[in-house]
Amino acid sequence: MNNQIFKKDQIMNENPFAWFSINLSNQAGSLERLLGRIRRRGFQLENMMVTNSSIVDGYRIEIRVHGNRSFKTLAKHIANMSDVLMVSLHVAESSYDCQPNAVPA
Amino acid sequence: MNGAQLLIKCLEAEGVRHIWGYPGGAIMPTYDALLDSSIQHYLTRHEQGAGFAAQGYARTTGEVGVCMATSGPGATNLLTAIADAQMDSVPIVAITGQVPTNLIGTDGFQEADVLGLSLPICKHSFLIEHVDDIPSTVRQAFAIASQGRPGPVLIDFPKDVSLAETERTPLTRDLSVDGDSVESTALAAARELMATSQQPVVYAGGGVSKSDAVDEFRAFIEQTRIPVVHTLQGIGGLPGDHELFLGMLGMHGNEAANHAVQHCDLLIAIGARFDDRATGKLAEFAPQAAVIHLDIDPAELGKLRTPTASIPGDIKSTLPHLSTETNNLDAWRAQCASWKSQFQWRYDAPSDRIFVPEFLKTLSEAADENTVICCDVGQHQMWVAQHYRFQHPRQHLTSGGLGTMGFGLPAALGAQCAYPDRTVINVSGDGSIMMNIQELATVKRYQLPVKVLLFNNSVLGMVRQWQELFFDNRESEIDLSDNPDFAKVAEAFGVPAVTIASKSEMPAAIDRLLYDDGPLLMHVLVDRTTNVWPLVPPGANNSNMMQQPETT
Ligand SMILES: Cc1ncc(C[n+]2csc(CCOP(=O)(O)OP(=O)(O)O)c2C)c(N)n1
Repeated sequence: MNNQIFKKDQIMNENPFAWFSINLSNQAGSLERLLGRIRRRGFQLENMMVTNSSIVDGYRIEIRVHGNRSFKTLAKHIANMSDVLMVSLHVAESSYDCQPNAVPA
Repeated sequence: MNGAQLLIKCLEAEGVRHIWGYPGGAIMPTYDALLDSSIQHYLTRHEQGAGFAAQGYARTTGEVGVCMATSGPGATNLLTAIADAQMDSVPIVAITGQVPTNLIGTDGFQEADVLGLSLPICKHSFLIEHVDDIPSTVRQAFAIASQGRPGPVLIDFPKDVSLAETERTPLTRDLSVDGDSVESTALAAARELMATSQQPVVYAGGGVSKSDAVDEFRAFIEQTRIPVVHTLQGIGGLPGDHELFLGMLGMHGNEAANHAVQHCDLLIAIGARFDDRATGKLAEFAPQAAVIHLDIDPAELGKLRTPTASIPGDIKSTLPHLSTETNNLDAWRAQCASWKSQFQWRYDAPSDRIFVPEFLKTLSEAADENTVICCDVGQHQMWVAQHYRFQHPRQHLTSGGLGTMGFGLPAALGAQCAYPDRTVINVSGDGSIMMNIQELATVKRYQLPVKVLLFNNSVLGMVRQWQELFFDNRESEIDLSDNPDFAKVAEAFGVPAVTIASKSEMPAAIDRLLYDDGPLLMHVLVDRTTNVWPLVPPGANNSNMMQQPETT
């Protein structure tokens, strides 16, 4: 996966879809919290695959979301969750890896 | 030892000395364990009061405040205070009893899905499913609440887990927090912007005191001599009488502050989040400005305004790296100073009735810099922000993000527990006070010398003002002319009270607020129709402030 950071901070309208790969630790409420955050920050879920994985010791999640706000900001909101182990965002040909930014739970 | 006893030991290991709470079935084992603890528990008279008291403690001290409630209704009563803490980034840990694990999901007595309810309003929420997880959960809860951008953390604690036996002991507290590495390219870009700017303004928010960076902030301003505007939460970052402080910006801000921001060519946002009450119409906010944004939360950078240079990290460590030579800003400073003198507050209301702005200004001149003011929400809250000259942000406790009426009295109680020797004043309105007036019983029980300064205009003033200005003065459900006699109410709680109505009574009233030993409710009757001025109408840009119409 390449680590190219977006030049434009706001990815508006031109790319109303984005894919996220997320590793999430399996705790009470983790999935709900993630889905709730995506909704509240103004995005709709288009597609989702969840696997309970022993490799990441939690869930491996692939989602496709739709929305007109900045996907990068959403990636950062997701990275702020204490149970998120990894987030990466793919829009069209570029991708953005976001370091988890929270005190781990 | 059982789980409840271990939980209390873990709280002691975190340095917790006070808890505000209310008992009930599912949390009974924990209340039993509290009896053998050094932690002082304060029984509030509503769980919302406990949540706001914990916030009052956290907001004044910067330490984590702890509140506790039982399952179901006890827990749901805490939620408003938790949501409020989330919006203003206040570190609290809320512990809620839960029905036993085998009853969760069966609609058991006093069962509510508190974990689910709390998810969108907490920084994190835990359900303790096994007794041996208590030490690590408590440790993480305090770390999450206090590190990075602070916020509320919920621990839902089922009754059977609290009764289960365990051999575990508390984890020791690791106090080392990694300093932020400062990204040099972003800093270089920011310094370049500062070096070339002709008209810079610093827009500083609650992050300054949340990061315990008031000293660093003041050093930065003294070094760069850039004019400053504050958000509601940022007030006190610079002392209220500092020559470079132009006032609060935004909807009820000072015109000088709004003009400076609208004309600046560089906006340095420090621990501020471009809230709509501060920016007015976002697309027209600081329209010519490049933006340098410093914030501990990377998700704030670019959330609402794309920065020219963004500097993630703890302001305490990033801000000192930003100091740099600026252009000669004399002309710009003179322009800002001239706006400041042009738009000074006026206190010459032609009446012998008490004018709230004048009362607050006089109070702040008489009070010392340790006095803590806890506001409620409404006109009186904006008048405090405008007219009280704060010397430090931790002196000013106000519900900004959520704007919760009823915040003030319990928050004052929590602040007074933290600092028994300081003067703590809840400035309230006749609407707000009724939202948590039961906490006068808590004030009385613990002999807390909290003062309530109640401005009674017999109306939901802020809503009346909006109905007058934006709804053709059609008054809808705002009349409170049948209020109880608040002085009698206070006295019934065992709290002394005085009612005043005329200007001549003001000096004596201020004396009593500052020098009475015990609690006091100062009931001040004021005019029903006074508005908060100036005002940016909703949806307008901050250059378009409505002025107080000249009275004839
Ligand atoms: C819990 C809650 N309910 C409703 C509101 C909406 N609201 C904002 S200000 C206000 C009026 C406050 O009246 P009062 O406390 O008497 O203060 P005043 O504006 O008269 O100074 C209301 C109802 C709120 N902020 N919080």
